[in-house]
Amino acid sequence: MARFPPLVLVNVSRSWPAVAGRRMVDEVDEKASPSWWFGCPCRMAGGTDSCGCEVTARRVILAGMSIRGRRSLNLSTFDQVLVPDDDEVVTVDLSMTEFIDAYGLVGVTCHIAEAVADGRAVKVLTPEHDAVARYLSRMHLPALLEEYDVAVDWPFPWVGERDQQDSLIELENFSDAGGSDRLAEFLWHRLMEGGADPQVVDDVFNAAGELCNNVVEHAQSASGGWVAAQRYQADQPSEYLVLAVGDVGIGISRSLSRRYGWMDDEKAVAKALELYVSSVDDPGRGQGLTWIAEALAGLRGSVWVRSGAAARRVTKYRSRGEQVSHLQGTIVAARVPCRPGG
Amino acid sequence: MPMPTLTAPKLVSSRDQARELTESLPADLTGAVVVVDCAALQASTPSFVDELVKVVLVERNAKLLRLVSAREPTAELARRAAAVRQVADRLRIDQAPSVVSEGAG
Repeated sequence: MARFPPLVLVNVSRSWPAVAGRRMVDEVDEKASPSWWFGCPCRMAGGTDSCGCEVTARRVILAGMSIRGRRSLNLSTFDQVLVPDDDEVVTVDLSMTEFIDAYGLVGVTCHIAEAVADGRAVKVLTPEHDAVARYLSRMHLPALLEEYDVAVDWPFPWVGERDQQDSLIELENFSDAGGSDRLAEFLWHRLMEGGADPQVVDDVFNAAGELCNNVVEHAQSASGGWVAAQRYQADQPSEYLVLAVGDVGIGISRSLSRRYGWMDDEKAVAKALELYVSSVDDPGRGQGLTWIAEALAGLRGSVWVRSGAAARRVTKYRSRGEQVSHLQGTIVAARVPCRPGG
Repeated sequence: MPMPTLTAPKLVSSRDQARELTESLPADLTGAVVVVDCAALQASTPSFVDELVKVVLVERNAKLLRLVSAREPTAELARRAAAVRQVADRLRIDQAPSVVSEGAG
């Protein structure tokens, strides 16, 4: 089977504008399909065109973001691989990938789901490194590609399912509270079997439960959410876990804007990390994300919240926000040492 | 009013699970003491505990919510939820024996 011809990708720096990848509907041809509404808090709250709001509602569409080949695809590098791309086909180039973590996997998945939801064709360039291709097979990426009818330039290899059950959570889709609960429980048992610190296991279980339930309750993601996790450097003092939960829903800004008025992605992500901030007007709501950040940072871990065009990394000592390339929905990831006292 | 003791499962995460746990209780719990046995409970999210407090003490107005054999993380979440919902005076926590014994000297 022949591979796709080499891609010509736009070379951009990390300082690419935050809105890269999206453009206003009046700037594009009429064949483009609208994706979602942006800008008017009244509309977000279910209002109408005659709401009197001074903010003009604007319709924006996905113009295109492809994933370009890079050796590492993880928490630190994911945003460097997203490049604006006006091609009809969204390309996910994993051909050069030598390492991909759970965050990279969930990020790729959300990217593909977003493109498919927007009616765009997607093609995936399979990793040339056999170990990476086998890893992605083991993490069930090919099943997702088949479900979404995504073209691949080379088939992913078949791998057995029995090995590494104590160190990874394959890419799983969930769409309701029951699915979310089962996944969190599954994660708890896998980590316990793997011998992780019980405190870490409990906190990761809580984090997974809260994050998956946030997707179910707030994201309005038609395709649900995805979760994946992986332990690294097993049985060593430096052993750590990466957990990622993502969706292609309305994003934190749009969710919180229903209650607090319009705010940009950067402000929304920061606000979502404040205690008792929630789109639901109920006193006990809005604890989950704050609790996750506090608990996991307290274990010397870090939490990464990415929504729309903003991201924020929280550690025990600092919380730092930054602008990133726009992706629909939200991805939250955590990197947690499995033996924080070791 | 006598109430059956509810038994919390080993792992609980969603608000839906709190509602499932309490679905057998009457809609009006005025004057009733609701006991939840947390002996088997290993991990509970803030959302689950908050929803349990909300359903029993706020929505159904129980006289008392008593958590038996609760581990400290769950107990702390319950105290916080009850305080935020201004029902702390109707929450009683009997912690797990290993925790209680530390201060029982």
